[in-house]
Amino acid sequence: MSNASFPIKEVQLGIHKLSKSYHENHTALNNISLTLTPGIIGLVGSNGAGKSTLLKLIAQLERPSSGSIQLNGQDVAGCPQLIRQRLGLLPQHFAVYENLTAKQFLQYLAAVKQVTRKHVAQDISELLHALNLHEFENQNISTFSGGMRQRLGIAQALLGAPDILIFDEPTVGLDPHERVAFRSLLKKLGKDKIVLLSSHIISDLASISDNILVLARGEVCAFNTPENLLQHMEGKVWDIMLKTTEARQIETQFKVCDTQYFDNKTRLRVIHETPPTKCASSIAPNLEDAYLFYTAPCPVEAH
Amino acid sequence: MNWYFWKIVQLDLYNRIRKTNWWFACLCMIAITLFIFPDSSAGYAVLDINGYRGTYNSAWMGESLALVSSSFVLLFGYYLLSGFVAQEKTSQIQSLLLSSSFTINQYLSTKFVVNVLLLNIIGILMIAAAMLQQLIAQEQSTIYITSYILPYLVLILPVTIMVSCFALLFDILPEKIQKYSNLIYFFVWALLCTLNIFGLSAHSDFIRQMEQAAPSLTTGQTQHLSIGISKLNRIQETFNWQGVNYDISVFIPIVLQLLLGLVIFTITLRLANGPCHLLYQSKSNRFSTSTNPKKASSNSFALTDYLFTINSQYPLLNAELGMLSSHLNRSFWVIATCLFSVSLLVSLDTLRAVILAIIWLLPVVTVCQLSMCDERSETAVLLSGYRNQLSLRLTRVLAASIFTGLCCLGALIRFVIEGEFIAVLHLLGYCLLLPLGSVTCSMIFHSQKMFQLSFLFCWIASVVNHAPYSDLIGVTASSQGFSATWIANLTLFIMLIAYHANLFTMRCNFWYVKSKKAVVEYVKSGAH
Ligand SMILES: Nc1ncnc2c1ncn2[C@@H]1O[C@H](COP(=O)(O)OP(=O)(O)O)[C@@H](O)[C@H]1O
Ligand SMILES: [Mg+2]
Repeated sequence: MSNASFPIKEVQLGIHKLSKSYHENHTALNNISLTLTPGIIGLVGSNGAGKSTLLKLIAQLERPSSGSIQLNGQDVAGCPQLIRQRLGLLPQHFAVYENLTAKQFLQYLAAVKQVTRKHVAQDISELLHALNLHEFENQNISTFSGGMRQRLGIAQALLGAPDILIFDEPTVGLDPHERVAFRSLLKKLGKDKIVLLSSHIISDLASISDNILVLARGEVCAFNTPENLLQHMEGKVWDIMLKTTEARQIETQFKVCDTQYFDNKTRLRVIHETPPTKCASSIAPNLEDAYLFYTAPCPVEAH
Repeated sequence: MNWYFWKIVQLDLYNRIRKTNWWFACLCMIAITLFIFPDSSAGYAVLDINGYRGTYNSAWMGESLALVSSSFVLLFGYYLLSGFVAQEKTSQIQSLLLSSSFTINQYLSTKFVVNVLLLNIIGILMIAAAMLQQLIAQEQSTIYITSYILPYLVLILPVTIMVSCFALLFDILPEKIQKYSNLIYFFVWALLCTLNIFGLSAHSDFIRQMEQAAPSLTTGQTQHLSIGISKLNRIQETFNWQGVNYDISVFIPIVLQLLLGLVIFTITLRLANGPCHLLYQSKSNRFSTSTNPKKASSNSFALTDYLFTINSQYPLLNAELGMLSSHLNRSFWVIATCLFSVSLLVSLDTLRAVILAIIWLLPVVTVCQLSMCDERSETAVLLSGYRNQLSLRLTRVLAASIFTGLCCLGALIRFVIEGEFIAVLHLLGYCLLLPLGSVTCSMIFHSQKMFQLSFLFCWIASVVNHAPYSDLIGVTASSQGFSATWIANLTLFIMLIAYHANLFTMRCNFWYVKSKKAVVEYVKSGAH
């Protein structure tokens, strides 16, 4: 990994009014504009929000219905190679060559990505170690478990020191230890690369993302640092202790993100701009609250 | 660039030769090679010129091997190679590869080279087998390598290149066409074989030279070389064959074939970058195939709805029928209805010779595609968690039989009216055989190709050549065909049951686990 096959210089991805619809009356992505600079960008959104679509568009695996993507100011539409030669991609669903061993598969992809020949062997062994796959490097992939495949997918994305990294739901199937290892790996990488990381669980991304991009129904609801998102939520999260019958009523009127039941009382965690009831007390917000707040059915302006 | 290219080719080749069906193909081709050269007293001949064949020297072995196997490779080669690229498209490995600086052209070029290499490895194995055979036969045991290589280069190498191109072309076509690609290629093959006679291949030139060299039995009789297994009542005589004269007329066809290959490859690249784009089209295609049938089924025949209501006691059968009908599009119903009405109108002979021949092909391209859909994906695993696999498969067979029966309904009614009960039973046998064969085949080989191929062979043999033994539907109205159909049914049924009773798999698994353990132990001992 330490060997760059392409000289690293500051990369910048500009996304301008990007839209994608798969068929006429359904837009998966609606008029998105963003500027991405090196750092870890966490992409959150519920299932079907358009995360994979956005990532596929950036990876040039789909053509946008309208809008454009620019790499360092240059439009990539006519020349997908611009992005492809510096891209590392882990798609949400991918297959591997089952009859190759892990090492052979990485060699194959190294050749596909044209990693400089003398770096290949070293790169691969470093990656296999980093992802804890070195014990199985000579084993056929057909014998691999889901988590091992996922790690192999991560390893191939990192091959050739790309400076745009796209991971679509990378932590699916990884056990807690591997998640921690993956995060620390990403931390190291995120310094000079654009790392795009998607998940539908915000807590997965909270600790490592420099910026969080919240998508809902194909639109950007928020794009900010975790600190700013939290700050914006300050004074909007309320803790209420009520009789169970009263709580029912609150639940229908306000956005409730947590409920705890006691003997005949109920404790609610409510998101609202103003105190929902008199007995409500303001509590410290977390990112989950921010996520629920921003993805509420009528989108709130982010900035 | 070059190093990358060959590295990719090498690893891709490695991946492909580790698949079992490739080894199976190798073994088949070696077996065929051994059959081509029978002993003089074997009682059959493969290459026969009025009772003569050449002595088994390098020239005769090399050339007759090339003659026989070139048309084999043209057909089997395609069935062996096709589907890889299409499979990579659906499994999304393509998007992984093509998201790097690897272009579509490079990707297809590596696949092309791998295809050519795969076929040529088989070719070389066949030559090796033939050499061995020459040594064993001891007629003239000096081996001249060039006598084997030259006919190979002239007759087989260009064919492997052409086939590789065709396999790629059919793989990148949109899914709608791809469903029929095996059938389409069969006709392409027939066309190419016809063109070969008219000089697209050096085939006819070789044959002519061989015919001229053979001694004639009686003066005035035209020499005729026949290829194909024929029964011999007496010992085949031999003559000393010196080899083909390689002049310019032998080399022109090579150029033609290479040109044809080049044209097809160029078309493939064009299509893959444009109208049938490998990346951008694939997803919407997949999407459309998953939504369109639903639309189609909602306005398809009311008959299927009726079918569901009458067997609501059997929910599984019901669900299978629903699944089948959602996969079949409207044109299927239109064709079935036409066949129904035509069957009742035409004369009985026409019904047998024409309508049955059409009906025979219809389900091959429709119902049978469906028996594969579980095997290739992981759905089978999912389903077998809930139900025993045997009952699932039998239900599918039954459901597919009902649909096949619908295709034949007109003919069935007609035969009943005419009182031809053997024909009715024969047709019913066919309705069962088709799904049974395809389900069994996809279960064992995880592929439909073998089944379709044997089905098409039977079709040719009985519709064109009127061979009664391979008549699975009743076009020749023979009792042999009738019994063949039901015997085949019984065999397949037993195979299906035996497979689920783990008679086959148990033994394989045993060896598998055993060898795996040995490997793990070996690796462990190596690590210390
Ligand atoms: N290939 C496709 N064809 C048609 N519609 C699609 C396709 N891929 C995604 N969609 C639709 O686009 C929307 C966004 O999907 P996606 O980007 O995969 O969401 P997610 O955020 O879960 O990754 C969904 O409504 C989905 O139905
Ligand atoms: Mg997704």
